Amino acid sequence: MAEKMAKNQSKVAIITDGGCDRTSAEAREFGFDLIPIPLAFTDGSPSSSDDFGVRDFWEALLSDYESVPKTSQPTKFSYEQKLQEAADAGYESALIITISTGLSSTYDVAVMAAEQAPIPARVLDSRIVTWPMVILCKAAIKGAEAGLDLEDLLVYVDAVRDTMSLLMVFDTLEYLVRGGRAGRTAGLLASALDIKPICTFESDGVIDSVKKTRGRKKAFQTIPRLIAERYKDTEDLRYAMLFADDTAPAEELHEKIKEADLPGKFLGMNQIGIVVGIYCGPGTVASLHWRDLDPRDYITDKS
Amino acid sequence: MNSKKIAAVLPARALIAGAAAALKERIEDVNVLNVFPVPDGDTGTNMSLTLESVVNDVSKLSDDASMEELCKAATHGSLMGARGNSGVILSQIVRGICEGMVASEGFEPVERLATAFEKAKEVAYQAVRKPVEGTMLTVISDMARAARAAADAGLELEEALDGVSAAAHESVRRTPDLLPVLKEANVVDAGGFGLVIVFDAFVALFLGREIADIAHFDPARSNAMQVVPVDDWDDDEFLYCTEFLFYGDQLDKEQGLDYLGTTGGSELIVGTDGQFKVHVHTDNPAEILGFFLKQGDLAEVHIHNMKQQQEAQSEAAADAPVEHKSIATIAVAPSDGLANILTSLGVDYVITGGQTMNPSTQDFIDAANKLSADNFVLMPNNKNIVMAAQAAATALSVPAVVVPTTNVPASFSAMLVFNPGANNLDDLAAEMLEIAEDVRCGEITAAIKDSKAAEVGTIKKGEIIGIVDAKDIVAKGSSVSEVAMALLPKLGAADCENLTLLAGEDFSDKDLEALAEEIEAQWPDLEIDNQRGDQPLYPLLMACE
Repeated sequence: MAEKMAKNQSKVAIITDGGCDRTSAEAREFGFDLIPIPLAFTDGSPSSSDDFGVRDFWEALLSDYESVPKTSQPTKFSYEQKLQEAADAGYESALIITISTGLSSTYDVAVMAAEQAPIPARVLDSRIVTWPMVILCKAAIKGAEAGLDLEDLLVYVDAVRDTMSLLMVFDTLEYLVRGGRAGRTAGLLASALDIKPICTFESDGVIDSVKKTRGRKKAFQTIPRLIAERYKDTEDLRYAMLFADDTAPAEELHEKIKEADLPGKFLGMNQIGIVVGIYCGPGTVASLHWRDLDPRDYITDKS
Repeated sequence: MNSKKIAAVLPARALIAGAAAALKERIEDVNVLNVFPVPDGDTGTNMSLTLESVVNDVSKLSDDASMEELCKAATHGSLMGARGNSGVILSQIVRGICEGMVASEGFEPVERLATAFEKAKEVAYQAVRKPVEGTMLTVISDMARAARAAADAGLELEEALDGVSAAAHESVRRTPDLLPVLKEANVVDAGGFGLVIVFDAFVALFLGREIADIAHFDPARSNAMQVVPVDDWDDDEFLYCTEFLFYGDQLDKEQGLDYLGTTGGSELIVGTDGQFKVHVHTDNPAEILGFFLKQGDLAEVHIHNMKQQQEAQSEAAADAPVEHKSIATIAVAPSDGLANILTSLGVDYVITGGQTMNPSTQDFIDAANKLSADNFVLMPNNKNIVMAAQAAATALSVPAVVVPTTNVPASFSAMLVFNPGANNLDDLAAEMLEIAEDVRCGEITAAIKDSKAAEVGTIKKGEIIGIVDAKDIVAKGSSVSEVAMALLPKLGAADCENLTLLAGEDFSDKDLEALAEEIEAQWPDLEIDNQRGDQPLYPLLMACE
């Protein structure tokens, strides 16, 4: 079984879950591992985020909302098994990065498994979902390879998370409502006007609107301003664009960000999958900014 | 209220009521002085309603009320009833006069007159952030100067009052020289004119002169006496409040009152020279009208069912208890359509009003009293309502701020940044104002009179005109759509992302759709949000941001 475990150049195994919208195979190429999210179709037949990928999801959503399988959380057993695989593969410890506790209770399951793990294991609530989780896993690998121990690594990855800002513009709030996740954005639903809220995952991992704007164009013009406000003079800034069913709006927003002449190195365009896609719906676009913090600043003296 | 009795016992109250009535009679003469050929905040109406509120408060006093009590009631009444900027300034003048009268108790009458008017001038100027000359402010200032000169010269009270009156008239005549916009429109300042009407009526009544003496400015108008409508519909003895004007030379007032006393209560006949206003509470209005019809002509007959009126009021009062909020928002809108949009954006209470009906300070306070909140944010949505909102914010017992929005779409945007959990009310108001000020609003209406404007030249009555930011007429044409297209560049559409179209009650969905398509073809970068505002008089409001 050991050969199934992803390889990185450190002694810390990095494990996340299907909330990052990637499959186990894709994760392994990056050097981390994941527990796929169990899915169940309306007729009861099971699947998982490894077998029902991002493209399958959008195809299903656009044809029939009811044909989209329901997500559930990974089992404690799946974590126990993964942690055993990590120990068998020679890892001395493991960092588990879970989908936001604002969206799922996967974190609690992971914590229970970590307490009984054969190697020391810690769990971090990413307080976010989809591609940003991949960024955090990559940061974790970078930190582990820089020699951070498990405790320092936890602090480092959490610090990277704190530098993140995921600004999302939904084309409609309909899917949030259907999925019962309107949360703090609920007040906007009754609006007679065409209001496009710019939403984010607050520090507690719950979706909230950071800014309400009139129409999509206004939203696209506002996002570079919000970025400029937060990341003015940030040298280690990185960013990525996220899209739902269609890349066009993400390209349009990317143009606005480029025109604004903001700092930051562009690291590609990524598709949102089932976990958040079921709530944000088609036409959603997001920009993700974060700082590429130097892990060496997070090494603490243990002597 | 029984004016007849008051006139005998308490002249001051009757003087105030008489002066208010004189202004009410001349409302249209004042309103017609609007500079803009648009149905805008009407100065005469606003000033008259402000004085009506004074009369209401003063009438609640007992017969032996002191000057101090009278002044307190007048000040309160004028402040609460203040509508529009002219009403707010008038309320400050009333307040200043009252303060001056109380402060100068014991001095010679002419000295008191001078003190009162100087105080009125001081208080009125304080109420306005950027005083403009050629307005009511100039008139009160000139009146104060004349009163002081009279006191210094040792004039008798009658001479002094005539001197102040003459100075006021001269001042009003001079307003077009001080304010170019008046000259352009060939009018005198409406607020100053209104002030003179009130003062002259007051002086005439005080000196026992004929009411007819006050008709200096427009002798063509008839001098029919009218009293302020009596809002005393709480009579549980009679069902109908009946009011009408009676024209007939043969009426014996005493006899008429005796007759009214046999068929109803709260009877009142005022007037002279064959023109009277009759007021009575009765169960049989037909009989009373019949009695007067035999002796002359009737006009403006009003019959109100007081029981129904009272029930409607109690029903309104018995509304379900409201949710308590940290910060509640109150805005003004002229139609249900616009009110619905505001409510959908989270506005807690919408006061009906706007261009043609400016809500009063009291209206804002009443709205706040219907809500339950620790703080209030008030959005007047019209430049002529800003001061009434500010007066209300000061008068409220809990912290309140005014976001001085000058159009309804501006308050839409302000609501987007409204944070119901904000800790600092002033910061919140500043943030709301910042986004509101980014909204350029265009209004399209039909000119109500022939006029001219710098940018478009001559304007014919009935012509469709486009106004930017409620002050400049920048487009004219024969159709709403034509003017809308001409207005867009003036609204800075090229630099905007979003355009809100609000169709008025006279603009159909079909026309709205067609216009949206036309705009989309010509301005493909604008995101258009078309909505029904159903506002009166303005077929289309356009907001660029």
